[in-house]
Amino acid sequence: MRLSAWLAAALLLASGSGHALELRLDPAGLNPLQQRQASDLLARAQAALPERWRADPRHFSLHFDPRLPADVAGRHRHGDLRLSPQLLQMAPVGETHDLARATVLHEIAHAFDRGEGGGWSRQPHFRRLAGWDRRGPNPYALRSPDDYERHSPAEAFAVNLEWYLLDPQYRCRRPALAAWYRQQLGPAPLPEAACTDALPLLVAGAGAAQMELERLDPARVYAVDYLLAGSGDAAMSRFGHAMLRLVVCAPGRIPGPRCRMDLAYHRVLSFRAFVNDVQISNWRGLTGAYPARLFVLPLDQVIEEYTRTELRDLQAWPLALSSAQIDALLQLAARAHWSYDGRYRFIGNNCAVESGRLLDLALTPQQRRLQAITPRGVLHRLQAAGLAEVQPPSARSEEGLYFASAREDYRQLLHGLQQAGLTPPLPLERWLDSPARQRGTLPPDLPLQPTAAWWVLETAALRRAELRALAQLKRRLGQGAPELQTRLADWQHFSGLFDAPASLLPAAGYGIVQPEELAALEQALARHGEEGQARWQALHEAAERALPRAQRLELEQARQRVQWLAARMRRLAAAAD
Amino acid sequence: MIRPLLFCTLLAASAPLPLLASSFAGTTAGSASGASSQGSSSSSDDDKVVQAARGEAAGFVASDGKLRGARLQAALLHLRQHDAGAAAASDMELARAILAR
Repeated sequence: MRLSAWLAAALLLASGSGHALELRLDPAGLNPLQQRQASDLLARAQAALPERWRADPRHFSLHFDPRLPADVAGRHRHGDLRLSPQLLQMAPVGETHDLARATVLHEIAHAFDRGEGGGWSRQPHFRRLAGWDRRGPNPYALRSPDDYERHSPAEAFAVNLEWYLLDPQYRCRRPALAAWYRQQLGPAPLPEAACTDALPLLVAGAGAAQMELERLDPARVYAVDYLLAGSGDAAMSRFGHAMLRLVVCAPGRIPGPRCRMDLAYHRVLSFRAFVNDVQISNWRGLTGAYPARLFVLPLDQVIEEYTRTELRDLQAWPLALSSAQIDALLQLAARAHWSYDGRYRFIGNNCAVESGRLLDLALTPQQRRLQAITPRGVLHRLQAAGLAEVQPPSARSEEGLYFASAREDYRQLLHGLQQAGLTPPLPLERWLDSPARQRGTLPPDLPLQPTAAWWVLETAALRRAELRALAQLKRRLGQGAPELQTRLADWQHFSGLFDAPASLLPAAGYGIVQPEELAALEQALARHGEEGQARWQALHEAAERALPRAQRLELEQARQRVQWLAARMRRLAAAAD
Repeated sequence: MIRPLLFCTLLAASAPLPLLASSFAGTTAGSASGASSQGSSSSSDDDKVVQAARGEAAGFVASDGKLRGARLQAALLHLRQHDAGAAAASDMELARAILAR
């Protein structure tokens, strides 16, 4: 059946326009059975090629060469394809990627790529989509179908073509590359798998080791903003931080301008988040080594950290993107989220460079026009490209574009307490950083308004005390504190598992996580969340024990004050006037 | 321009194929739980919105309504949209309700 089928296929291809790709099998060294197997294999490979290549009137010669090294499946040189005879012993496996057929396609890909009219792997567009989007090695090491793709752009072209032609799910797993192949070579003669629209992402949860699985539906993303954190006051003077904010609409809301105030559903894409900048949690910053990868954070959490802990402003600059551009951006963000290897550390790669690169890849993969080394620099490029307004957007809080530092609020609230004679007349920073007993005695009959003001201020004071304790612990780590060091090493080992979201998944899948992989992912998340909580608790306790006694007591007092005020505020707010 | 065999053989031996194959049936495993960006507002959404606005609601109450942050505004919109009782309440009443939770 095989041989006759092949003959029929060959005849069919040869007829028609009279032009067809010819794969000439050199029968040398093959017995009749092997010859039939080889012809069958070539026919199956040829049938998987895109129409444009099948109709190409060139010929390649193939022979099965037992002298190929044992670890080499195939090799191409000047239109001459040599294949391992081992491939003939492999039974065809259904419709998916089988090694024998994939190898033939791989070598044909090289032959076309290097031949006349080829050169796909040299296209800057392809190189950048395939992961060569910076100097140095290709960092998209995780969730790869075949690590050989990172050997060179030529191998990436051949390996990805195998998957494009053989795996109906390729277009769901690597949509950007699939679209590129389709545009360059035409559709793959495959049944098209239906892709789900939702992009699974792991979003930072409230707890230390907690991550939540979120299925982000691109159709719910109304807009994308460039989100800039100000550099803060002199004491915390910094570089600023660049992020991307996804304006996700609340469930049930038709995407439109009203989604701007659905803040609880907005997400922030942040590269190298909080490494030497803001810590996602003050105590979590103790571990120091946050991996270099794309974090997805709830906007609420980002506002809280910047405006209320760091006392820095956040300004959102809406980007003029079409919904197709937003889709492309989200797909590339999902790729970075799942495949970017957090263990790579690139000096000179910061949040600004990474954000600009992601935007470039999504909008103009042929050129770099949005990359700059500072957050402001990227903003200027966005403005020059007409993607962001030149004037800062509205600072009114009801527009949801500007989130002011809480400093001014704190100052007003403290002023009110001082006017009422409740707290000593210290300037805000001095008051916040004073020991609890110098911040004033809490009267047992404090009314609602000053209770609310004081709760806000004590919470801020506690956070700053925690930051100071953290800084001190970092200094002490070098000098003893063996228990803390042990706990820290344990935590770092454990949290290393979170370096990349991909490490929570079985090795089999590649690219963007598909629905059938999510059950395993959710189980892994739950398991790691529980384990992480216990380890985090142990680390936290060891950290507190390593603090000088006075500082430990100070933290405890601050916490008690916050708790007392919170309970009183709740009770008074619930009571009728 | 070579293709190594070893890695691919290992890949085949570690059996990704059945997994990939099973996906063609379009299973929806895992879609039953977890967060979703679609669907109707849940009580956990309410909790999140209210929780995120707590600090700003306290500032609002403490300042007699002068300080109104973005997350408080978002929470007021959310509460009015999802709760008929909230639609008629004043900002101050809602801010106090947030503190009382």
